[in-house]
Amino acid sequence: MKTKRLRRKILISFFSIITIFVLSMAALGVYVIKHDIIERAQTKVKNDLNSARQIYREETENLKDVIRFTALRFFIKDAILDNDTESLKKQLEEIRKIESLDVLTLTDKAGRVIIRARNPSVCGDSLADDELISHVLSLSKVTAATVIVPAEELMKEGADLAEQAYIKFISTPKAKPTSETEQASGMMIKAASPVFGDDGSLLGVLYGGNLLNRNYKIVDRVKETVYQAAKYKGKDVGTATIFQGDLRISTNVMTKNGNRAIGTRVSEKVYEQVLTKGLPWIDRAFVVTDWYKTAYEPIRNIKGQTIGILYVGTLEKPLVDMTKSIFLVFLLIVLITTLLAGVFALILAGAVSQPLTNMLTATRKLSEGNFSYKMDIETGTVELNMLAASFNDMSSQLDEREHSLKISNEKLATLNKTYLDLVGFVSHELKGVLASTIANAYSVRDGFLGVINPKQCKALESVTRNLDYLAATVKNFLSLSRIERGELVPDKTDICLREDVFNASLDTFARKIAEKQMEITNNIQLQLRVKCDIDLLLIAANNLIANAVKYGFDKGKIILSSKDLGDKVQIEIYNDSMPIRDNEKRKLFKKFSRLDTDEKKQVKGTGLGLFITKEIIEKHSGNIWVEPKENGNCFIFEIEKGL
Amino acid sequence: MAKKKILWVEDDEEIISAFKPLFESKQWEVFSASSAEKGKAMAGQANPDLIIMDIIMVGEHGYAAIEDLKKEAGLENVPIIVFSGVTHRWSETSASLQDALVTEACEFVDKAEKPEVLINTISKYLNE
Repeated sequence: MKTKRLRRKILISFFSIITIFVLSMAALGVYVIKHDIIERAQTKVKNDLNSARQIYREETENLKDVIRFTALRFFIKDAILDNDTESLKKQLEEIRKIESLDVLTLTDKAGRVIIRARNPSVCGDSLADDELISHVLSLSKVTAATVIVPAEELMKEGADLAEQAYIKFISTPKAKPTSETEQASGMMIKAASPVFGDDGSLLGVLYGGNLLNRNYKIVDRVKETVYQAAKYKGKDVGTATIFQGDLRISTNVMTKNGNRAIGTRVSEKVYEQVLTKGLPWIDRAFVVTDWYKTAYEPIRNIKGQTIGILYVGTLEKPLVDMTKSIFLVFLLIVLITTLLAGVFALILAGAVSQPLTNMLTATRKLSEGNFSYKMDIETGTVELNMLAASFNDMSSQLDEREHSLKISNEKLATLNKTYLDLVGFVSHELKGVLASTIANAYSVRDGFLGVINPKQCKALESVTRNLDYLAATVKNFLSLSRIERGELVPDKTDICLREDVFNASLDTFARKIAEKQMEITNNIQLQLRVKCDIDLLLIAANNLIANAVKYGFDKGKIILSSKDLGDKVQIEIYNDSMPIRDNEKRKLFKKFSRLDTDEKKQVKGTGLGLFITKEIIEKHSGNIWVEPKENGNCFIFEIEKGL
Repeated sequence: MAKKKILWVEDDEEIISAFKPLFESKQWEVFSASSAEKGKAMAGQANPDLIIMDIIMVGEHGYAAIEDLKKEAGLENVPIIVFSGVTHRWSETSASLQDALVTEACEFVDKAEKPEVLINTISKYLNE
C-alpha cells in the first residue's frame, strides 16, 4: 500500500465526504426544484383555470340577470300586446347601450323576431329553430349559454358585428392541418328569458348576447384579476384565451409583432385532448411564441357539445429563470459551505496530525537516547494529553532503567575485570609453574638427570600423565572461558588441514601413541586446504586425537580420513574402541558431560573437550557428530572451506 | 659441530632450569636473561641462533622486546619463538598485541603444551 502523510489522508477523506455531501445536496436541490416548484406552478395554473372559468361564468350570469330583469319590465309586454314596435325599438336600444350588449332581440311566442334593437330594419324572421330560443320557448325559463352564431345570423344583427366575428386563419406549425382558411361564424354568450303577460301567458322571448370574437373583456379580466397584469421582461406573465373550436378568437397572448394572436389555432395535441375527447389539458405547451405552463378546458353549448376552449397559461421563462437563480444561490451556498468545511478540515487535520508529529519527534528523541525529553501534556485534547502523559511516564521509566542498567554494567565491568584477572593468573602463573614442573618430571623420567630404576620410572610416568592431564584441563578451562565470553571469534587464514593441523596434533600425542602401541593411518588428503582459525582448529583436533588415543584400545587402530564435498570438507577420526551407545550420543557434546561407562570412568577427563570442539566447529559453519562402528567409533566433522 | 646458541628471555628461572637437561640432551647451549632489557643487551653480544621470548615479565613486556630485536642489525633473521602462558586475547588491549606477536615472531608455543612441543619447534627452526 502506498503510504501517505496523515494530514493528506485526513484531507482526502474530508473532501471525499464533502464531495458526497455536495453531490447529494445537488441531487436533492434538483429534485426539490423539479418536483416542488415546477409542479406547484402546474397546480397553480390549474387553479388559475378555475378562476378564469369563474369569471367566464360570472359574465354569463350577469347577462342572464340583465335579460331576466329587462324581460320583467312592463313596457315590453305592453308593447307586445299593443304591437308598439316604435316604443320597443327606442326602449330596447337604450337598454342595449346601457348594458353594452352586442345584441338585444325580442321574438313573439312563436319565435318570430319582433324587433332587433341593434338592427330594427331586419325582423319577422323565425328563430324557433335556434337552440336557445327553442329551449326557452319549451321550458319557459331564463337560460344562458355559449353558442355558435352562424354568419347569416350575425349579418342580420349588423354587418359590423359580422365583420367583428370574421377571422382569417394564421397558420402556425403545430396547429391541426385544415383546408379552411377563414371563419365567418362567431361565438356568443347569450341569455334568453320568456316574457309573460299579466295573466301569466307566454308573450314572447327576449334575448341578448355578447359576441366573444375580438371581445377582450373576459380574457383581460382574467389577466387583471388572476395575474394582476404582472409582466416579465415586457411580456405578460399570465395569459388567457377563448377559442371558438380551435381558433383563437379572444386572447391576450401576443404575437411577435405585439398584436393579439387572433386567428392562430391550438396545437394538434391539445385539439385531440380537449376538442375531440372533451377532457382538460394541463401541461407545458408552446403557445404562439413561448413555452407556457398551461391549462385548457372545453367550453360547451347548451347541449353539452364542446364548441370551444378556455385557456390560461403562465409564462415558463420566469419559472425557468427562478429555478436557475435558486440553483445558483444553492450552488453558492454549497460552495461557501465547502470552502468553510475545507478550512475546518485543514485546521482539524493540523490539530490531529500536529500532536502525532510531536509524538514522532518525541519518539525519535527517545530512540536517539534522549530520555529527558518531555512532551507537552496540555494539548487541549483529553486523549492526546493522556497519550503525552503515558509517553512521559514511559520515557521516565526508560530513563530509570537506563540509569540502573548503567550501574549494572559498571558492576559487570568490575566483575569482568576480576574474571580477566583470574584468567590472566591462570594463563601466566599456573602455566609457568606447570611448564617447569612438567619439564622437570620429563627430564627425570627420560633419564636426562641420571638413571632411575623401573619403580621410579613407573611412578614418574604416573606423575607426567597427571601433569599432562592438568595442562590439558587448564587449556580447556581457558577455551571454555573464551566460549562463554563470546570471545571465540575465528581469525581465518588459508591452511593445509593435514600438514598444519592433524600432523601437528599427532606429533603432540606421538609419545602416548607409542606407549599404547597404536597404529595410526593418516589418509587426510594433502592438497586439502581450508580457510580457518588455525589455533582454534588445533584445539579441536587435539581434543579429538586426545580422545581417540585416550579411549582407544591398546594396539588399536586410529584412522584419519577426509572427503572433499565441494564447498565443505569432511574429516573422520576413527579409533578401535567400545562403540558408544545410541542414547549417549547426544550427551557426548554437552558441557561437563562424561559417559557413565565403567571403562571410561577409569580414564580422566573434564567433560569439556568435545563441548569446546563442537563450539569451534560450529564457529566454522560446520557440525560434528559421532557414528559408532562395529568395533570402534568414528567422530566426523564438516566445515566450510571458505576459500 | 658447534653447539647451537639459544637466548631465552624469561623472568622465571625455574622454567629455564627445568628445561636445561632437555636442551643439553639436544646439544643446545642456553643463555638466559631474566628481563626484556637484559635479553636485548645479551642478544647483541651472544649472537644467538634462536631466541625464546616470554611475554609477561617484570619490566618491559616481551612483545616490545621482539619489535626492538627485529630492528637490530644482524638479528633480523634470527628466529624468535614466543613461549608464554598468554595464548589468546584475554583483554581488550592484548588483542592487537597478539596480532603483532604472530607477525613478528616465528612461532608461538603455549606454556601448557608438553615439553616436546617446544623442543620440536626449536628443532624445526634450527634445521635439526
